[in-house]
Amino acid sequence: MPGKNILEMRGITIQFPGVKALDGVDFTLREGEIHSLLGENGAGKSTLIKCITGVNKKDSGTILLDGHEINPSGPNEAMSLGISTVFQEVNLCPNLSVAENIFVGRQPMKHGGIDWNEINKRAEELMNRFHLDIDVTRPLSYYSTAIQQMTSIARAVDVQAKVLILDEPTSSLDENEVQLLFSVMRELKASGMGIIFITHFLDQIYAVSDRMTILRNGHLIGTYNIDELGKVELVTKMVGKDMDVIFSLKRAEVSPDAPVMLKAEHIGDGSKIDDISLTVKRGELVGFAGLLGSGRTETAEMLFGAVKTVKGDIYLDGEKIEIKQPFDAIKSQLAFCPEDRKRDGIIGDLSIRENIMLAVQSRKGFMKPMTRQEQTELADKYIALLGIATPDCEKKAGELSGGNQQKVILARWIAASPKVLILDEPTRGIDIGAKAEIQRLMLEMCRDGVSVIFISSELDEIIRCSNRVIIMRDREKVAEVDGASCTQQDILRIIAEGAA
Amino acid sequence: MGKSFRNSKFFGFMILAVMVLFFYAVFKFLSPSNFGSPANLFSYFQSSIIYSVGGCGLYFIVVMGLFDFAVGANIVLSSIVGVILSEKFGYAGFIVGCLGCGTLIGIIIGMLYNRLNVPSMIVTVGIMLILESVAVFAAGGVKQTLAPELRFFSGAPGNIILAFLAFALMWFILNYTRIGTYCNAIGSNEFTAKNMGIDVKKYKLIGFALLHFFVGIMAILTVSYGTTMTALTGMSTMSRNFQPLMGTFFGVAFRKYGNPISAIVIGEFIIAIIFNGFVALGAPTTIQNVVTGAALLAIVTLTARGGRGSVIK
Repeated sequence: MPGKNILEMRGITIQFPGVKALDGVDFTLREGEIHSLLGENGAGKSTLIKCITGVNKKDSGTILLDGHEINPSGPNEAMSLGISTVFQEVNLCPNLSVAENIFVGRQPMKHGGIDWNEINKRAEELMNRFHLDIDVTRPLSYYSTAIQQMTSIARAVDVQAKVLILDEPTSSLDENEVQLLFSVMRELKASGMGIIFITHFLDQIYAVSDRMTILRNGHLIGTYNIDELGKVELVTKMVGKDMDVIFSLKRAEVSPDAPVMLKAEHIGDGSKIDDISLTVKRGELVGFAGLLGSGRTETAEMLFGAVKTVKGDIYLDGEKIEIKQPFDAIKSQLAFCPEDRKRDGIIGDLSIRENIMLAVQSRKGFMKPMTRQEQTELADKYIALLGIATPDCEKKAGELSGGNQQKVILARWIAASPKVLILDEPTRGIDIGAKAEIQRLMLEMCRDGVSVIFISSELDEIIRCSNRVIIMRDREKVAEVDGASCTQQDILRIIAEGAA
Repeated sequence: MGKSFRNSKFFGFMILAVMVLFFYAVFKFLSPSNFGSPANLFSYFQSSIIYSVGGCGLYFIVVMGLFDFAVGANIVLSSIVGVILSEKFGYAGFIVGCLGCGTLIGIIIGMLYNRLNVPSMIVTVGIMLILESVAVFAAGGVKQTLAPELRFFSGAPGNIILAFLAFALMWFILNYTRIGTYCNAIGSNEFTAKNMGIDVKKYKLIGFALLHFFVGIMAILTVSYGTTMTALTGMSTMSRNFQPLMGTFFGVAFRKYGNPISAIVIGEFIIAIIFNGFVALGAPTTIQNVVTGAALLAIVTLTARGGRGSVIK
């Protein structure tokens, strides 16, 4: 019999400048329930969690905890109300002991001083409850990520939490550690605690959850019992489809005997990616499909040297190349537009001209500086070519819209005449017109002989543009399908169920 | 050797002891007659514990990732205030003047830092310039001399007793109050510390107040040791900041072994051995600045070096 509702959110709406992050979302968590909160990047999961914990203020709607309306002003107040959060990244102090971390901010005192005996004893009891026999007086940094994650949970549990939010707690755990976490979650559930579980690993959702709620683009798609929805339907609901937008774009033709431009053999970074091999022909567009966390971005970062490759070989145009850092990749005429354009791509305080000339200057070498006139001519050429909406090339890049910022990053790399262009989510968060424009540019570059790796969460654009599609799942390449003949259903099935 | 032994207090202490013996042996070998007699060593130790007290105070803010360049200026001002009050109230005026002035300056710095929301270096450089001028005004342009009958702390056992009281206080605060844990937590990750329920601003203010309370103790020891204090302007007090700071860096480097106080005290003693070793060799006094600079760079490199791929600004 289902437990009573412990947390109810009704009609939650949160508006950020220019975007509605949550639009009238309802969510309920029952006592003694593990409830998965699902959705792709930008779906609104984090915003909903931040709303529960008081980090983001809601514009409308109500939050009820045990039937009483609450409006926490921040994580501390939420915690005092009985809502604890454990984040993906361990949010503790590595230089403090395990016991200190559990009790910091609320240490038991005795005779005016900290009662270390009590702290250490209670910390030991808590960790034993999680089947961990460890020395709680050692610094947290001494222990594995799994134990650090358990320490976070121990801290969260010890404050008499009614609601425990676990935000991607398994992303850095191995299989045994995940199983240990699941057994702890089941114990907490049995004790009546309501747990909100966020993960991108489909198998884990089905292994431990009772119900799931799916969000997409800030809207509630639905709440389902775990046996009510299969994996394929789940992925379909998460990813969604936009049938109204039909592009007239045609993928570039690649001759069967076109030479291989980029070849990676058994590359791995020693942590997230173990063994990936791939080839991209001259003028070919290879799409990378998979859910967030499936290893798409990590693979791209390895190819560009943003993440160090510790095994395997990379060949460009038939020659083996050493890529230890992005500079080596740029020298070899590889280009990379990162997933987070604001953090890793655009330099907001520099002008459009300066942003565009960065890669060109890097390739030329700083002993051959471009004159101001050359820079301006180059920037003006690409502003016109890519249709960047700006009065002139001296406007700060940070003041442009998302789509135009993306075009500036593209211009930077196109101007550097790359042989291989890697684009990680280049169309995320931009309007449909800009999306079409960027896809057109990618395809034109392919026709000019540039090889393109295109990572996107939107399957329709992957299929529309790609000659081949590499499908990633749980940080492994599970399949490679022909872009012309595959369907979204084929890809969704492989993402959900594994190799074809 | 087991991992636990390599992280033990004993191992940390052993490293420091080996460093002391190494530098002692080097200078004793190079200058056997002028360096390193038991009387010399005791003298080096007495001068080093003055800096150790300041180093203990600085530890509270350095572990939080803050700096304070007003330490030297506050030593001068607190000494002058203490000496002036001692003329009327004897030891009570001297001690209360130094400690009260020192702590008050610390509270003001902490409040300004929290209110202005600018880097601690900038706040404390500004305060340093102000304190130097206030010290000149307070001293009336005259060198302040501590009366001979008030010089209990000028040498053993007074200076050692006071310094060890300061170390004991530091030990108690670090181990038995929330302040030590919270300073470490804030230094580890300020955002996380805030989310764990720590009032970050309050503990930064407490950190500055404690630092300058210890600076007040250092002022007592400094003016007692030198018997006079002259107010200086033009950032001349800046040089007084670095020697305590080097001890603090030793403390930060060795805190993983669980004994930052002994690391600060022994670290300052090592620096005193190096200084006096060069003096015994007849090296010009400017070499001391070279040693200070080199030691500062070496210690900071060892203690504050960023991880692979980290961005250093």
